[in-house]
Amino acid sequence: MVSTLPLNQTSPPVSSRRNSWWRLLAAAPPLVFLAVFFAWPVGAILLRGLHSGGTWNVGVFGDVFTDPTMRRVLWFTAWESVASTGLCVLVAIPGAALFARYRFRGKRLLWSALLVPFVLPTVVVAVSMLGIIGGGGLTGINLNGTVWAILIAHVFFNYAVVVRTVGSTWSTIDPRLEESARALGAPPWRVFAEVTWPLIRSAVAAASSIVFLFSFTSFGIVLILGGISHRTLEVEIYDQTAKFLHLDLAAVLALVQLVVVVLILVWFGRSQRRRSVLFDQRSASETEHLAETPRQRWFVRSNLAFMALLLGTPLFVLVVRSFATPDGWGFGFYRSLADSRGGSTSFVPPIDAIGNSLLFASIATVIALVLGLCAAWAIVGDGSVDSDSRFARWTDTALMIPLGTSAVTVGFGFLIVFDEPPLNLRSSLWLIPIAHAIVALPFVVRLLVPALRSIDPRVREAAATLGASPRRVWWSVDVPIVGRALAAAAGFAFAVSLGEFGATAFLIRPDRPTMPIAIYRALGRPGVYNFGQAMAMSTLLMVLTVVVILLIDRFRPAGVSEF
Amino acid sequence: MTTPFLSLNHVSARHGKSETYALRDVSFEISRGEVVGVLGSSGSGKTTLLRVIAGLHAVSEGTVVLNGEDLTTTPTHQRSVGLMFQEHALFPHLNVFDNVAFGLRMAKIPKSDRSIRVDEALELVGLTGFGTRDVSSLSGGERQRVALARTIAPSPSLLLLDEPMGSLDRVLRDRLVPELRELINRLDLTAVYVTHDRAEAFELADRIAVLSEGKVIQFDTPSALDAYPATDHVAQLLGHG
Repeated sequence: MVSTLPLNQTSPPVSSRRNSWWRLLAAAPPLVFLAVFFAWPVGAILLRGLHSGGTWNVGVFGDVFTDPTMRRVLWFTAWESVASTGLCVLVAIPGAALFARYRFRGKRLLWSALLVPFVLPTVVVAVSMLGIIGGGGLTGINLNGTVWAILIAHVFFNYAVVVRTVGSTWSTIDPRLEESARALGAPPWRVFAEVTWPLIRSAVAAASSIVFLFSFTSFGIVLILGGISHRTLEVEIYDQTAKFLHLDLAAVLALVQLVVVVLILVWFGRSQRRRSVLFDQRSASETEHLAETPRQRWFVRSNLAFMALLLGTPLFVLVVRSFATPDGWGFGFYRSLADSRGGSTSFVPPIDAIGNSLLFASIATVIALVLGLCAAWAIVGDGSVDSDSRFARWTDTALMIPLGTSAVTVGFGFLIVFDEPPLNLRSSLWLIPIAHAIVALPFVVRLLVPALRSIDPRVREAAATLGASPRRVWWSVDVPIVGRALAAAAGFAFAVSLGEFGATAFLIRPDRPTMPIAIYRALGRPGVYNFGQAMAMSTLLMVLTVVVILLIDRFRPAGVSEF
Repeated sequence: MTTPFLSLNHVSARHGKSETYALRDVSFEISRGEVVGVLGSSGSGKTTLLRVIAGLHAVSEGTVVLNGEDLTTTPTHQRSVGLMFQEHALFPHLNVFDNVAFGLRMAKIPKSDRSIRVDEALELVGLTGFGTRDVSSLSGGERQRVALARTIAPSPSLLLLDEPMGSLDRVLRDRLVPELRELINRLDLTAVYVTHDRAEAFELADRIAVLSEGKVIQFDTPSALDAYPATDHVAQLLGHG
């Protein structure tokens, strides 16, 4: 999420007053949507947690912090996310260096392929981990239920965030800075510590804060891999609500989580402003080179081998195991997806979930795109200096909060708010795509804003001086650039919705499961066939997601990537 | 004849892993205190030549000997050469003082001596009092001077300059070139100066190596070059129509 503001040196536009009205108007739909479907449910949780029996009661926090079980959950959530973040950064820094400094065959393709684990549904990630380190899997090692399974899954899931965020910043650093340091007598490690690190530090902080938030609010992975002893806040909230019906306790936990998330976001925003160093950015083609010395070649090869292992193995194992039925290789597990006799909890054939998922994802994508586009226009304005206003920054921040808020909180909030008038949507199918849209919206905005910002106002001005009317300018400058970003955002929103698990788990109706829900249900039932079904369904979901991601990448605007 | 200070013996260097050569069988010797200009059009291999001397580009054949020591495989940071780039490559996260002090810190010069030497270097380039300035606030000419101060502060045995005036405008260049010449003389530095500008080379260099397609085609004093250009290409580079 490191965004480098282009330094557009233009005078304020003549129409700035009209401009600001128009921006307020554009900001209204996303902000209203956020207020109704995010602030209200979350506010209701807040109220539920703090306000019981007609009085404000802050003592509930004390109860949570003194309860040994809850303290264990809090402690585990905290250290597990710190460990995941640290491990992920450590493992991914060499990968970032590889992309920043070397030219090799298949670089572009690998850059896109890295995204696959990140957009892969967490349920699928967890299932593929079970396939490798779940005992009886590829390695024969059984780490299921240990913290290692969770940490490995988190690294797999977040690797791309660090490599891509840090790598794209790193690639803009002039290699001559590092060469100057070497000529001035700095050995390689000091070149890194004293020149490279200070310049990539803010990108590392940006990536770390994302990884931390994802690990802190990790749900699907911990639910499936953590066993009974390892539970994050997110899993605890779900259990307290869905299993024990302790809504008040769940509300307090959700509140604690929300406070942490907001604190992290605020800290991150401050530190970004304070620490970022502006430097002359080079284009990647100027800074990359072929591996020349044996040492460099070794670095490139070992890095590529590591990536193949980290990213390829889980996906490979998933596919292999989906075909390895007890009766030999075949489509047995896939065929069983059409059976409706799978178990008592699902009275619909799992294959129906595919149609459900596609339907929900389509609706969610449309909602997220329309709102995201309004929001992005409101944030960017016409791209001039004065449009980087306080209003724009607040809108931007407000739209990012759902990214850090757990999906479980959103789902839980919906459950509390929308089961009574004025909005009784409890049994409505609309709640699911709306929840998905809330989760997807930050991604959409993050993709659209840089694309809109990348339009240099001087290009518009140039078009205008060449005789283009405002409408022509919009059509011939804005649309082609934003159109590509919009396609990419659509793909992202679709993928997010396909894989969404946390909120869906609360809102789903038994007869309309989505694919991740169907996978989770299959895992919950004993027997080889049910496990195989989970593998088969996960493979299908993975293929669907990969197709969407490949489509995104075709449309990705060149040189603009924040994820 | 005195022993050469820097000598390149049949040095060849490839473009990366490919079979094409950036430098082909380059040999020359430089005495202590001499300023050698390397003149050539873009793509002639002149920057690669500097990078080879600095240890930033691998030599595929031949040796580089500095002060009697074979440096061919010595890593850059142990060579004690000062290198200055066209874009100056000032560290954007450090202020002027810390930029200039960087090499002194690497050489483990004690803190008290360090600040004296930084001040000296800044004084030499005419930037006394600029220590606390942010490098982003400097003008083009000031950046160039800071880069020079940073390069000479650790007292390198050899100064390598890669088009140091390349990013400056004509007026500034005309003022800075004589200053640089004066500074090099005063500190009695040995320097290799890469440029594509004939006037600069003539004003600064004791001798000039003309490079074309990775080969040294002539290496002589400016006046000799002027009088007897070896090939048409040399004559062209010197502006003889």
